[in-house]
Amino acid sequence: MMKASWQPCRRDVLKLSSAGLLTNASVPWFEALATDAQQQSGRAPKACILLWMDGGPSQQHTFDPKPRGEFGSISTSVPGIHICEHLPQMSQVMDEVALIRSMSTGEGDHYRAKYYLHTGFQRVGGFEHPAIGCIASHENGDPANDLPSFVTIDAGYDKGNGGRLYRSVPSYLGARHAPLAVRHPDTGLENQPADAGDVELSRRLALLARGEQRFAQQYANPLVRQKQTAFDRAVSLMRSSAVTAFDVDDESPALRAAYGSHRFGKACLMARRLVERGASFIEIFHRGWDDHEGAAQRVKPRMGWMDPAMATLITDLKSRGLLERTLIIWMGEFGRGPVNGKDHYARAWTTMLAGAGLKTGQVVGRTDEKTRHTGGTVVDRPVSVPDFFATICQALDVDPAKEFHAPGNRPMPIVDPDGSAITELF
Amino acid sequence: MLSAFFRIAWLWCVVPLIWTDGLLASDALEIAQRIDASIDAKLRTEKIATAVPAGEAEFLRRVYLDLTGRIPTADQAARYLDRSHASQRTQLIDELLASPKYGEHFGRVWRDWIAPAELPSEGNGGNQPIAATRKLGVWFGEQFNQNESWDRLVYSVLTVDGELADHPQALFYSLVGTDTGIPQPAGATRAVGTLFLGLQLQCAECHDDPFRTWKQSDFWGAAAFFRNTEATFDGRYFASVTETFGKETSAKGKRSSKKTTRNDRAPNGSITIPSASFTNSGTVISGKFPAGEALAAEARQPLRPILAEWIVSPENPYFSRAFVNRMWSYFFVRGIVNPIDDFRPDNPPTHPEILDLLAAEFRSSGFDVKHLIRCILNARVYQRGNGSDPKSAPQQLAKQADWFARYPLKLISTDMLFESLKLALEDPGLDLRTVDPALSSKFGESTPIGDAYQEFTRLFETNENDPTDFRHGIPQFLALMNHPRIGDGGKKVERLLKAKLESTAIIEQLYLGTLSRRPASEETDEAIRFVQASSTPRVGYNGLLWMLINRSEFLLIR
Repeated sequence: MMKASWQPCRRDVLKLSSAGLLTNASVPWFEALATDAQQQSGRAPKACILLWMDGGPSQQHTFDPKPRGEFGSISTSVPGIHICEHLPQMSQVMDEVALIRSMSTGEGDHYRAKYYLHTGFQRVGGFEHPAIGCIASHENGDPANDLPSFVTIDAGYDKGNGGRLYRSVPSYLGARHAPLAVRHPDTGLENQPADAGDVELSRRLALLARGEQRFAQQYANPLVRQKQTAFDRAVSLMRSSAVTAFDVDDESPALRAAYGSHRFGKACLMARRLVERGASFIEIFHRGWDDHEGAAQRVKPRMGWMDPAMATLITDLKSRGLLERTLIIWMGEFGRGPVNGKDHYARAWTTMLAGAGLKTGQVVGRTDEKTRHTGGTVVDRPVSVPDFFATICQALDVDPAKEFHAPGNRPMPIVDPDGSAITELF
Repeated sequence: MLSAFFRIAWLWCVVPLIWTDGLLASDALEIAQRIDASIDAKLRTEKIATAVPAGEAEFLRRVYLDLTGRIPTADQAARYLDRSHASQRTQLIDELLASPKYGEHFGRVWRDWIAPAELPSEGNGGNQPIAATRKLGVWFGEQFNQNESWDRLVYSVLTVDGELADHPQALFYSLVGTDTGIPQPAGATRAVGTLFLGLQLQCAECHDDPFRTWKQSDFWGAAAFFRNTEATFDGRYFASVTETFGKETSAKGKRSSKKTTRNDRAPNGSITIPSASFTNSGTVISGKFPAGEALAAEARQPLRPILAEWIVSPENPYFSRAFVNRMWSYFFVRGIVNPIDDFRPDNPPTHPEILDLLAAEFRSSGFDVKHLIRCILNARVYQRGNGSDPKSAPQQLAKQADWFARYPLKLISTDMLFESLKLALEDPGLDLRTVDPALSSKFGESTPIGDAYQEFTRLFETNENDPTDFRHGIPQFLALMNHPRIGDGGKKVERLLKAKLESTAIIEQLYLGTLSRRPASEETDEAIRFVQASSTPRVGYNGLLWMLINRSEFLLIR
């Protein structure tokens, strides 16, 4: 049940009653709303952290190194699996990771591919598919939680290329599943007051509540209820301890150092804090991976912040017992051309999955080892976008065949029925 | 094929075109009465109770927001509320239609209908040219303010030929039909169907439409009219749009740094279904008017003007109906045909006689947009109230809304909110950004910080097609609640305090300047007590203004 939420905190009630301002300590409109709230299931639903490398990261400079490649490779905690030499920390947690080296998606245009890899569907005219984050919020989000279930965190960029960022759109799932955007991990939640229990703010809210009650009496209308619910959620979050999830300064200096001082590391730490407090989907994006001038020179410095942050995220979640119910995805909209990584490449590329109880410590699919254009072809087990989305859904306990009614009474399954989950991972 | 044609032709037959067209436009009030007679007759047959008429304050705020995209100032509100003569509503409608704010507002509305502000619009790869889109809105606004007739306006958009700098309407083709810089006939076809004809052609782009009569050949037959559109692309939008008719398009479609055109070997007047389509790619389709006849083969002639003439012709039954229905839906959130761009025999209008009446009136007035608005707004159906007590059954309320027995409660749009906040706070430079754009590159933001207006639009985006779709959530209310620019009273409170008014007068000014009404006595008492208990009057009035802005009543059109 949704909790009858905004009520002035105890401290305020005392102040307000002594000031003679509060005639009625509860705010009745919320009680009426509580009946609308969904029933909650017993088991903690799965969460997901998507690490989005915008522009298309080079697989051969990260998780699918090749002999005679520009970077060397190193062995990992799983015998037989090698990754790029600049990922030493990730190599130590390879038993917690599954690599999909046979992504075969066919869409090489940035924006179309971003849409495809965020929704599971090709972009078509006149129709907007909901993003996976919104679907996860809809399916796994807890309406009673003060925290929004879908949060995006901007981890910055090192080059402003790769085209426009994709913005997750809930489409027919409803505005409640739109992401809450965190612009910078240092600033956290925007417009959060320094003191949410401020007495002046409480007086204002009490004055507002009286007018709102009268209005709701006069206008029994869904719009009024929706406004009051949304407003109430903002007040609840502002005053809830959950809001501290956005403040990574709470963590021990040692752990913060392990995640790293780069925005990406801070964003990963914030994501873990959000998962801990019940958020369903966190997307961290870092922009600039469209390395047309060659990947080697660009990717190497990025590994300096990516490697410790990702490895620490995995170990940190694990040590808190959260890894079992949290899926981590690392990917971009496509990979990059063989050898030097100069071009967009959607025929054969790599994504990384971790956690969520998957059978990790394995590699799915394989690219070739020919001498020319090494790795340009998938030689084993191609994985399409619908396959990939079916896999994500299964990992998150979301039924990929579930249908929504899109506008025009058009039945829309969560995942294209052509897709089937990668069974080796379950 | 033939039977499909006859199914579509029903519209042509039912409409008594000959009777009304060519006559002079009627008096708007007379048309308004005929609208009401028709609506009321339906309500009687369906036995649906009519909501009480809107009070003067409700009507005032509603018509200001609907027509000029902003609330009235406190002075404007007081002046109107103090009037009391029989025709004051008609007079206010006329005043607002004469105000430049009218065009400014509808220019933005059409801008958003053509290209939603933040969502990736069709065909432009998500690469939204924000500054140029605003200019398009301004151009539309100027046309509306001059009351340019709708047929001439649309003709000018569709046949545009030349540089964007001289013809802002050239941007239309960038917004609706570019794919990586090349004009896409498919996008233009979808947009023309939806925006100007009320026809959803888009499903037929890839296959025969199972729900409508459109064949894939109908879609591409219409698209053939745009096949010769050539453009220069500046990386984000077309810097010019021209026609390459006659010049046989070079065998291999070129995409030099200057001109971009499609690669199509089909003869002029026809088009090849591209490979991106699901079925029949490579098939050559001859030009055909949407839901109409085939294009007579005229190989060496510009095609867009032929299509544009057909579209805006008074004989075209779709053109006037689509506009009338769209405007009706703008005011009532529900068209006479729904969805508003889905005219077809299987989807009949709820009030065909009103659609016919208004479409005929629109044509005979020479597609006079302001006249059409007068006809609708002077009707009682626009001037009904929308209050409802909690005891009313939801089904009954829904039924009332469906049959226009009550005016729908609506969420104010992004632009309305921005303009209204500026007025309420007396803060014309309102800026709710939390990051200094000058510092955004230093901080390495992945998304560049836009200007105050763009960032406001991003934050408070609404559904441009459905103002009953409530989109605001936590970030929006945190901003309204906690941004100092709203909480600190703006210039408004400062000015009122300087004027040394009685506290009741200040309270009245604050109510008039936000909710466009005077406070009820209970509200005045509450406000006085609130201000008295505040540390200073300034703190008290700031809090009062904050409370009014955060009211549901402020965010909604009653």
